Amino acid sequence: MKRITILLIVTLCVVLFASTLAWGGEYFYGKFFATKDDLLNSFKKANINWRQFEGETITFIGNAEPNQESIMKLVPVFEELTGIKVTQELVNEENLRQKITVDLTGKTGVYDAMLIDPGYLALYDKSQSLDDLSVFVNDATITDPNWYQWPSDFPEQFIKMGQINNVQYGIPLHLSGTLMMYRKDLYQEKGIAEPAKTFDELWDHASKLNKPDDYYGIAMRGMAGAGLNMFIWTTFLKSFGGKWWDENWKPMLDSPESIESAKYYSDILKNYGPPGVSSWEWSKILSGLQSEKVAITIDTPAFAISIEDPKLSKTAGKWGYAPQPAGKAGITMDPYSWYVGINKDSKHKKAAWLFITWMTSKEVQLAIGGPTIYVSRLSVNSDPRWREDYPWLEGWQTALMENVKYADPDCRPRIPEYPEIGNIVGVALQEVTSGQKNAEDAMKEVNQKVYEILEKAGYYK
Amino acid sequence: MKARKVEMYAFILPGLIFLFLFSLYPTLFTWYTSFRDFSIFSNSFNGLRNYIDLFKDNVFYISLKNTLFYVVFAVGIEFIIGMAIALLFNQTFKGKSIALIFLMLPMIIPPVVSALSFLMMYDPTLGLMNYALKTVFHVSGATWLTDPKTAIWAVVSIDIWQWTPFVTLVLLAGLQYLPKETMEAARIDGANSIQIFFSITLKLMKKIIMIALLFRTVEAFKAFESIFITTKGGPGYNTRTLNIFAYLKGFEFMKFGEAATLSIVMLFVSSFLITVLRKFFSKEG
Repeated sequence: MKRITILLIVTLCVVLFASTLAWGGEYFYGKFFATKDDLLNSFKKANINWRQFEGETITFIGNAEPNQESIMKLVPVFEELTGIKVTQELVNEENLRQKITVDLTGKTGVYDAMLIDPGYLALYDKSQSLDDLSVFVNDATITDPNWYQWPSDFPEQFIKMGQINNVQYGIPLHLSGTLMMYRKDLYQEKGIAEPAKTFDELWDHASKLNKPDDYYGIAMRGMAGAGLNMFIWTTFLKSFGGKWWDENWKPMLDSPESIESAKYYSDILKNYGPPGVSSWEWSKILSGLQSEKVAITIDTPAFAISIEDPKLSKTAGKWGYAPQPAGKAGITMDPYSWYVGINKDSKHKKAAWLFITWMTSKEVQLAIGGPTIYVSRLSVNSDPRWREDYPWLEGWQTALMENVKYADPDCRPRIPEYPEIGNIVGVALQEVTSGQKNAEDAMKEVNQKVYEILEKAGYYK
Repeated sequence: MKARKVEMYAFILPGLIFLFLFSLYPTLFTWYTSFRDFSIFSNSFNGLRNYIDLFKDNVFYISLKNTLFYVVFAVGIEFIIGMAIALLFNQTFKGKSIALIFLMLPMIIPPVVSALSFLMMYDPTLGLMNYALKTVFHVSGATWLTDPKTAIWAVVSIDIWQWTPFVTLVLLAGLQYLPKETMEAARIDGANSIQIFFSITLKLMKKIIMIALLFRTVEAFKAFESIFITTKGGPGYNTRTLNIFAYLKGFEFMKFGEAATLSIVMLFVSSFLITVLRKFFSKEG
């Protein structure tokens, strides 16, 4: 009996060990790096001394999402390259914001480098808790400009989003935001030649493609929240020519353009969207796209990898991608990326900077999967070598890079009060979408509330 | 004698420290915070400003109304259904103990899980609710969580489903300790079952009913998962309760002072509810 138990345990250990090897897999170091050494040696191109901070330990906190997790799997490469030890902590988004906010504003200096939500940059700027990264970029002993290619290899609007008052607090990690996605096959079936370029066309297409028994014309986020319906609607607000406030911080959400954008957003969803769309957030939309229930959406381009995967989606291979429709004020994209920054109270700033340059390097971005995992570098995104594996990639890249030109870093205003303002405006919009109020009343009411919040925060002193 | 006193205090000291650290200090600190403009980059005394702002805010009144609606209907319906089931289980029938186990199941499911399950069931296109209505009764369902008319009922239903077993359990325990003699005497005097229930059972059960209702009122007052997971307080403000509002103020808007003020007001509201309940049940007759 005892021998059988021992035998079982040994077998189990062997199986477990073998499965870790299998998990390592052929693509562990990316399509372009066969072994760990390949990846390691590729960093030697940078003309700096990687080992100058050997023996230091840095603490990094990040977001438990695929891109970040893939990078973290490669951390042993960084440790071997530099001799710096990395203590890492990956938590979910909400937790991350809270932990960082507490650490940064409390000046406890627990984390040396961290992932930052750009919406919170203004807050950290106000509390003076992040370091100006341009100091590190311009220090030739720790940055090789020819290798790192800052800023030329990063999209301009995304660089701007990492700044407050022209101080660079963060390096963008992702290239994401909003994009229009539509079912090419249904468009063909209905004889619609090309994706909507204007909001009138979008309305027309949504109406033609709405067959409630089979699928709905359009679905967008209806659930109220600063990062839910606000993420999509604010692009409508800006495109329609509306704005949050004028140069004196006087809220402008009751302007005819703003009201019109709220009305349009709600009406198109009410008429041609799925029932109950006012409680839809991104996961509902994604499953709607995968299960052939939705013909058009405007949401994050990161959906592509899930909707184009035949194992996950019934609609794989049927999607077209296009820049968002233009309104009176042109196209607006709401850019989305997390940023890596350095804590002002850190004692290992230069070591942390090496980690950041490594993390946002071309090599790491290639190793983790390039454009399929929405990395920030232009050169990696436009690298044609991925296209043979992902046939949809070319159309997606073209549309995304076109849309990125219209990215507005302040689509959702980067002020410390935004979480509260986003919440109440989100609720107001949801009241319109769910038919409790008309757009005019809701926007006028919420405009007053936004004024009160700004007044209380001291914007009119 | 003195040594004995020291000994006594030494024994209760751990309890006192625990109470102070985890109960008294946080409560006092919440009071203190409620009079301050306390957020990430400000921490200064601002008197009654938080309270005045709160009482001027119409969202507060909407949330208060929703909270009371939630408490009254959830606890009320739980009591009625719970009592009915308890009376049923007070009889003897075959398979009673197994039925009792199944009855208890909702209670042991974590609220987060039950809320997520309901979220799926309420889905208008893919959910079980509308599917069942369509296939069994041939009526089209509703958009339960997003229609302003049904949203609050949808979340109250989750509470009722989950916590009726608790009420049943408490009431059943009470029923089983009722004196049989009184009932028999009443029956001999010619009282029917309904008369016995209203004039004797309910009266004798008063204390136990109060306990069940008190527990449920306190819990329903701070219900969070059933609402936050399904509607986040929406559509609009239709299911925003005081608890959700306090969460938003504290953890999303990072306005700790205002959140503390709201918590203090919530403390008063819940104390008021409980006092009313106790007064009602301690009346003689």
